[in-house]
Amino acid sequence: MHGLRIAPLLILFTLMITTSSCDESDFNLGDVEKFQLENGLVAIIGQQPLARRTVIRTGIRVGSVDEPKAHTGLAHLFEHMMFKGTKDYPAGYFDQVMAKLGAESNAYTTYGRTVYHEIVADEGLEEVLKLETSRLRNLQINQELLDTERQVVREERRVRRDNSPSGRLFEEFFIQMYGKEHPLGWPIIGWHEHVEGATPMDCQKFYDQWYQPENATLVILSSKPKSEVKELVKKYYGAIPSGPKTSFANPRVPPLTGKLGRSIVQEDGQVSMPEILLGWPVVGEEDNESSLYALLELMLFSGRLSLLQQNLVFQKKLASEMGGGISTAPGSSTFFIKATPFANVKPDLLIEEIQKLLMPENLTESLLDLARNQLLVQTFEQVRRSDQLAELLLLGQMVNGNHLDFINEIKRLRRVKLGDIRDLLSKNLTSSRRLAITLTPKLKSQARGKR
Amino acid sequence: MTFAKKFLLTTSLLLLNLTIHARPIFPIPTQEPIGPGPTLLTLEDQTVPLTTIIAQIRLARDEFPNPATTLLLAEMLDKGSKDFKADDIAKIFESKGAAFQISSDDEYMVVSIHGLSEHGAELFSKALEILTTATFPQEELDTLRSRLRNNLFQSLARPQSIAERAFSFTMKSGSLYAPIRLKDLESVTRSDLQTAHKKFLMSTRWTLGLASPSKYLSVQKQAIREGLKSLDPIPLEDSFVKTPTQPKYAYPEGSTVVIEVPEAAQTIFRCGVRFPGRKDLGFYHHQILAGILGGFFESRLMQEVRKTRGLAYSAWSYLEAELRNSFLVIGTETKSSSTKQVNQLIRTTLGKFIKDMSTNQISPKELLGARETTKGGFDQALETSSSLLGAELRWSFYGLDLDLANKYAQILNEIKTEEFKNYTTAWQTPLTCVIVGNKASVQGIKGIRLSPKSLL
Repeated sequence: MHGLRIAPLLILFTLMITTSSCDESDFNLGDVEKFQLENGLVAIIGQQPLARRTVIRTGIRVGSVDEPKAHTGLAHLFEHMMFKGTKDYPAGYFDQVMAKLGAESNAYTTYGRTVYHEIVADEGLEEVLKLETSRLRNLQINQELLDTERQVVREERRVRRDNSPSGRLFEEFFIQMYGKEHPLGWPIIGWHEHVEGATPMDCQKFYDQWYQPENATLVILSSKPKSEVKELVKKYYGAIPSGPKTSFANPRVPPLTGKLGRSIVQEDGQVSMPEILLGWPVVGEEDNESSLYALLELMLFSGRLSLLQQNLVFQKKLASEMGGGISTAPGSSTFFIKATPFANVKPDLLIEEIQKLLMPENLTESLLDLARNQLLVQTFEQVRRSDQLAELLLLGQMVNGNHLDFINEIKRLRRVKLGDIRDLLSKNLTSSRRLAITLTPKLKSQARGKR
Repeated sequence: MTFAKKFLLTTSLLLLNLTIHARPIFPIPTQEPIGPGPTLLTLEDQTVPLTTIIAQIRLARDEFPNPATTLLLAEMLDKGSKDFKADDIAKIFESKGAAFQISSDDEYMVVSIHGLSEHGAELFSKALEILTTATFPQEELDTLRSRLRNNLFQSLARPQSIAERAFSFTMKSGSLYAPIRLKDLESVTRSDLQTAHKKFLMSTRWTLGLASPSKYLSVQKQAIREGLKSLDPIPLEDSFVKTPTQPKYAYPEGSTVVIEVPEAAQTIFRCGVRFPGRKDLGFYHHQILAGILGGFFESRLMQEVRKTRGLAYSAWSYLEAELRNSFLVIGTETKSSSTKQVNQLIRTTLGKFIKDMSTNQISPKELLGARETTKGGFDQALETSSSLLGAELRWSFYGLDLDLANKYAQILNEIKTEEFKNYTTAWQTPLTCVIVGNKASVQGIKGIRLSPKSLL
């Protein structure tokens, strides 16, 4: 019955939508230069005269997919250990200096990379580079610090996964999609027992294997003169000796062997209403096709006029919340849709209606224009934030070997044909390639029985 | 004084002034009256062809008997107008990649339009037309209410959300800062919204901000001037400041509220103390003190709870600043078996901190860390012209210096450790806490027992 209401809505989208006269030539990136040091480290530095603070990002090409399966979570645990002492300074010193400089300092780990970042007043740049290079070549790992930090990581896991219905839903989804033994099936943060079992020797081995200058990319955006920043990079990073060439498993991520086309229902003691997660394996982040999903995401979820919001939230009133996007990874990414049905709506009906809408003919030129314009505004917004621009430059270099890749990508996406997006949908987002998980409230009697 | 001396003095003062202000780090907005009521703050931004137009409207939640009124008003203003249905309105903005957002803060409402500069003037005119002729369609109101109800139920599945909501109820009861109850959401009528709409349209309540590249400014200002003619120009006696409602503690000050969530994998703590509002003279001292306690990696709570003992991923404190009241908020999460240890640790760390405050034992190193981290975060938060404009409008609303962005660092630099003892009294208020965890973890903790559903 609900399917009958789609057609009139699509007529609405066929109305003329104007395309902006602005384009990627209006991006003002400042003066950006890329160079490589003799030890193999790639540096991208940019001078931005109006920037108030300096942004420093260091990316190491190692993530959870590169962990041995008996050591899940090691890449992330190791990321925490990078904030401890080195041969040049004691544990705690790094954070003390960051506090003194008023620097924002943090890091994150993904399936394919680990990124460290600092935002600091220009005057603090040299001091930060001193610390960054010290921990890249002289990190010291001891049992006591590791024992404390693994507890911190396990608490982080509880915050993000164990104590969050949404976190549990995603974790279960990836296990079911890829299998517990597959690098994309185990969580980036790892299993408790592996985090508990990691030794200083495991960490040291990991450090020696992956934290080599040839496997690192550095981005610095600052108002300081570029020549001055370049000299500092040569002085500090150039002094790091070359290490062995990093070699990745081939293929880095094994092919997906899990069974798709399934629907799984799981009871959860905390949720008060069902939550649905649908996902499809798609191309890896290094594949050009991956960026098309950014447009698809906007066409499906962004704003009231987007295909799924318009039909399922505002017209049919089947879902109170609806969103999704691409979770990128080397080798194989995952496109997902997350939805919360209204209290009187059966989750299966919502899944069915979502799948019905994912037909190529439902994607229109008007939706594509809308997505293109939104993408342009979003990218302008990213480019004017120095930390986000630094991230774009870093990812372009690390994933595709071209720091300015995002500009090419925008150019390409703004000229992409509707047929390409429709093909993407009909080829990949089918029910036979889909995995669906529904988290439902546990019945009270069962919950009491368990306690 | 001779002319020569006067000249030298004036010149040197002028030069000094030029030196200090030669390159303001943050641009100061120009201010001009627009029509009989509103003021317009303008920032030029040449970095990207994006424009942000913000209207800040003095309409607080407690001006209406039902505290959910302004929330629903904000949500409904773009859901239908005299000439446009909700989908048409969405199309006007979304098709240009622009955002048209209306939100209700507790103390004021905000309308913002953000998108490519070439569309700025046109979109503002359309937005004003929509806002002034809003019709609040019943069907849209029903859909909205269902969604909000669903989201509220869903949020009670997350122990963190339960703790946040319970904390707000406990600390901010009876005030405009208290969370909105389900019964309030259910009982707002179209007629309530129409009444509130009249207040919303009083031009004396509006302050506007515009951030845009210079080549678009004159056309955009003209559109703003024209658009504002459609607002109600009759000056309204300002009842906002005269009848403030003060927050009350829901339970006696210093109480502990305990909420059992059967399968919680962690115990969550949210604790707090009520402080004077944003314009209080001690605000910056309290802000830095909250930073020393838990505002950065080297802070006391992080040291005690995370770094030394590995009991939590994070342990933090900050000063939530509102015009009429501020709230010190302390929070952390720990595994169930560490509940009692962390409960004790929060209290002993705070106790020692207050003692050190009163006896001048807070170190210059701690002050330096908190001050520089706070300044860094402040600068970063104001990086774009849109965020700076939003902050400047808030300062204008609070009656603070519009050039606070450039003066903030100096204000913090002048704070001395020996001054902290003068601010001890506010910190000595007994700590009010909310603890959310599973049965085993909260067993034996004395306090007022609530269920998650009671928070609806």
